[in-house]
Formats: sequence, C-alpha cells, structure tokens
Amino acid sequence: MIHLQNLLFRRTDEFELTISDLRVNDGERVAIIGPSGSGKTTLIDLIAGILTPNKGDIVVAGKDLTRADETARRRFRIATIGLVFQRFELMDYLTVEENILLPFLINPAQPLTPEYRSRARDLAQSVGLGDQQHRRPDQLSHGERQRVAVCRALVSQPRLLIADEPTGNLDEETGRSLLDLILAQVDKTSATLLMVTHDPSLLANFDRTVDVRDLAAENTP
Amino acid sequence: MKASLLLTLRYLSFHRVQTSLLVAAISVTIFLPIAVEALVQRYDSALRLRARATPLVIGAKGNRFDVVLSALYFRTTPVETTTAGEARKIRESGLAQAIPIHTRYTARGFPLVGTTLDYFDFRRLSLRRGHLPRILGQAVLGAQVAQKLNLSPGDSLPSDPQNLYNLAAAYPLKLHIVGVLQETGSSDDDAVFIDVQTAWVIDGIGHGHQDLTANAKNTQRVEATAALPQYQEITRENLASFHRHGDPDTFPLTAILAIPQNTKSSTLLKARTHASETAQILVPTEVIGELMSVVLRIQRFLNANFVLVLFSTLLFLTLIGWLSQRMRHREFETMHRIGCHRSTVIRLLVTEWALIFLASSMLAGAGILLAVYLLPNLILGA
Repeated sequence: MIHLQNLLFRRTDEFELTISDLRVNDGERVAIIGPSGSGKTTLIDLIAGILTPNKGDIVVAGKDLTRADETARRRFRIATIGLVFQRFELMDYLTVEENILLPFLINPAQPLTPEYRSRARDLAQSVGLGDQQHRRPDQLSHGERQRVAVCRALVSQPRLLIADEPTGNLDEETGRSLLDLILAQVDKTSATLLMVTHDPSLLANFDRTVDVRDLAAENTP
Repeated sequence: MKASLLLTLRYLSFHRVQTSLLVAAISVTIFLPIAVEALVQRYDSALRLRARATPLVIGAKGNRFDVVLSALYFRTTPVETTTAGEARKIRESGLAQAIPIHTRYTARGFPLVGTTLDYFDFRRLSLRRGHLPRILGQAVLGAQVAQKLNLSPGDSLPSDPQNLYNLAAAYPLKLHIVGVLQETGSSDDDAVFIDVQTAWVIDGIGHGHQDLTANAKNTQRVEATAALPQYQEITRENLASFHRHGDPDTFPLTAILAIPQNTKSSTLLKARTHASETAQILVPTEVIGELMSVVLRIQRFLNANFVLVLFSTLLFLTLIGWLSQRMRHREFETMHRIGCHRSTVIRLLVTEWALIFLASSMLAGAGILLAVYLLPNLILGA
C-alpha cells in the first residue's frame, strides 16, 4: 500500500527527515509516534503528496508520488486519501452536509453528484448525525464536530485514512470514542489507517507502531 | 462554478454584518461621484431647457440669479421687485409681449404665481380639468400640486400666513380652485397660478370689505374675537368691493417675462432696459450658463475629491482583503491539504469580491436612480 524508500526531506538546515525504508500493507492500522518536531506531520504530508521529498521514492496505492506533478498528486489525494486533522478544521459557514461534501465542493475535477450527496447522508446517518445535517459546526457539540470531520475524510471512500493527532486536544474518554469511531469506519471500508498520536494508551488498538525517530533505519513489517 | 458560488454565498451570508458594511462602504464610493454627475447633468439640462424657452427676463437690479430662478422656477425667496410700470412700458413700446410674474407667496408650501392668462399660452399649458382664473380669488393648480394636496376644482386653498404676529399684515386669502393643469414635467407642475391682481390682494395692496356682522348677534357691536374669520375670501357678493390703493405702475412684480417680436425688438429692448436705473434685462440662457459654470467648477473640485476617496477606499479594501486572507489562512490550508488547487482558492476569493462589488453596484445604482428621481425637485424647489 505504502512504500517509502531512501527518502530525504529537508525543510531547513535544522530539520531533516530521513527514511531508509517504510512499508505499510493494505488494511494495516499503523500508529505513528515521536516527540514534537520529530517529523510526524511531515511524514504524513509526504505520504499524502502534500510535500515532495528532496530525494527518494514514495509509492502509495501503486502511484509513484515522487514522479507525479502537483495536479496529479492533488487528484490522487482526493480520490485515495482521507484526512482527519487535530482541530478538525471544519468550515464554520457550511452545514454539516456541506462540510462532509467539501472535498467535492472544492475540486472542479470531481464535481458533486447525487451519488456523493447520498453517500454523505448515509455516512452522517451512520455516525448519528442524521438529523443534524443542516446545522452548522458552531451549533454542534464537540463530539458531533469530530464525527463530521471523520465523515468528511471518509466521504470519498479512501483506501488510506490519515489522521493527524485527532485525539490530541481531547480528554481520554472523548479520544477513545473518536478512535472507536475511526476504527469502526476503517473496518467497514477495509481502508489502511495511519494515525499520529501521542497517547500510549491508544497504541494497543493498532497493528503496528512506527516511531519517526527509528525511520532512518529500516522499518518494514 | 456552481460549487464556488455556493461556498462564496455561504461565507458571505454567514458573515453578513461584515459583508453588509463592506457593501455599504463600496456603494457610497460608487454612488457619490456618479450621483453627483447625474444630478448635475439633469440639473443642467432641466435649467437650460426652460431657459431656452424663455427669451428675456426683466427684474429689479440685484442678484440676477435670484431674478431668473424666481421667474423660471418660482423660487419664493425674497428678491428686489420690479414694478407693473415696467411691464406697461414694455407692452406700450410694442417691442415685446410682457408677462408679469409675482411669486412672493406660497399656499401649503407650493409657490403662488401671480401672472396673466398670456402665461398659459406662452408656456403652452393646457387644462386637465376646469377653467383658467377669470375673477379675483380664483386659482389653477399645477398637476403635482393637485395630486399631492388631493385638490380639484370646487375645493379651496388658503394662502400661507405671512406673519402670525403682525395683526396689521394682510390675512391669508382663501383661493377658489377652478382648474388643474396637465402635467408638463416642469416647475409649472409644482405651482399654484393666480391672477397677478389676486397676488396683489395677498400683498395687501388690493383689498375688499368683508361683512363681519353677517353672523353676529348684535350687529351694532362687533368684537374682534377668534370667531371672526382669520382669512380673506373673495366671493361674488364682496367682489365688487375689492379695490386697490396707489399708483398701479408702482405695484410690485418679481419679474417680467419678455417675448420680443424679433431680434431687432430684442436688441432695442435690451438697450432701453440697460439704460434704466432700476431694472435689469437678463437672457436666461446666459444667466443659467453662468450659474452652471459655477456648479461645474464645484463639481470638478468634488471629482478631484472623489478620486482621493476612491484611492483611499481601494487602499482600505486592499488592507481588508489582505487581513481577511491572513485570518482565513488555516481555512485555505485545510482546503489545500484536502485536495483543493490554489487556483480554486483564488477563484473563491475573486467570486466573493465580485459578488460584493455586484451587490454594491446594485445598491449604488438604486441609490442613483432614487437621487436622480427625487433630488432635482428638492434642489429646484428650494
């Protein structure tokens, strides 16, 4: 599913991420850990095709991202990858339904169709937001906003779900329920999961844990 | 495009207060220069049109703008008056037709224009209802006056009191409405026309004697109480008692419209009047041209001012746009990470500003139409 090899990413003289070899299999659940500033977010941005490395190869779902241009990587991201952010990053001026459909609203190459609308409604229904679809984020509880963010990441039925510390700002109980929600949705779609986390209590739910500090050495299952 | 429009509309309606303020600020910037230009153009053409239709105006020496504006637009601001003697001299010279205009008074705020029947022929005014004034105390209404006051032939209209605290001053005159003129789109629509002799009655020059004992219990002793009529009225019964005191040649007129027989008559009339120590002869097109040159000079100054306002507004809008983009950095970054192309973000911003400018233009356009429709009457009626 994911293969990073001989990768070097240098942002500044002070920050450099080196990965000799990282493989993640289809349907695998991988937790990414490491101290702040170690390059966790950089790693997932490289896998998502948001950043490009200085050298090395990144292949995700058979697509060689290092040889794809910005447009191709963007299209690939929309079609293949779902992203959940730490602060959810919902648009406060859109309704729940529109927030879930945002990947299609902002991408002219993948226009909104009735099928996507129906999928968004089904997703919202499945996470208990069926009657909240016309409300805006500021009218929702914290837990409801998390669910909207997860639905937005899953609406394009991605083969890879990347979550960047989604439980980082939550208490233990709320973090647990969000992880349960993500795992349940990933199970349904058999998607691969990469999740950045600082919470050691959550690691037991993953097939494998990758410490960014160890990536310079080989890290393959 | 549909999705961009949806996102933009959602954003603008969510931030409706900020959007409204922005639209209002831009509207004013668009509205002011265009409205001033449109008003000046409209004012200019309206003034020149009526001026071109009026060959000569004769008035007392003094402010020529006041004389021409009073004669053409019936401004009731006090001006030095000329005399009926001047009108008689013009008539007797055979050089021009002389139409008196006396516009010192108002009736419920509308100018009362004392003139003669010649005025209606000269301006080609026709009646919608009723007839022209035939005797003292009768009035014909301009179309707008009749509509605004909801009056028609058979009704009455008192002239406005001149001085509430001067008991010796002439009382208001109760005018009998006998006709309503067709609408012309000129200042004639907003005037009440009476015979110049009736205007002199309001002046206190002509007067009659009303029978105050008609309703009194004791006809030997009449007390001056509030029960007495607080106005004059010219009726068939007291018409014969109305008379004037003094030399008719000294009776006041605001101005005289002079319609010369030909160019030679016009030149002769100008030469004669120039020699007068008390009267001046004015060519309305020249006076209005002079007035407009002052207005246009002021407009040029305003235009320079508007350019500065426009420039500062553009600077403010640039600042607002820049700050807004900074505030929305995370939102755009999220969109980008999800898969949005940078050009889509630019398209969203362009659509937002286009909608704001469209709304501002529409608001400004509505304001301009309203101003062009309403303000000329306010300006010319002042």
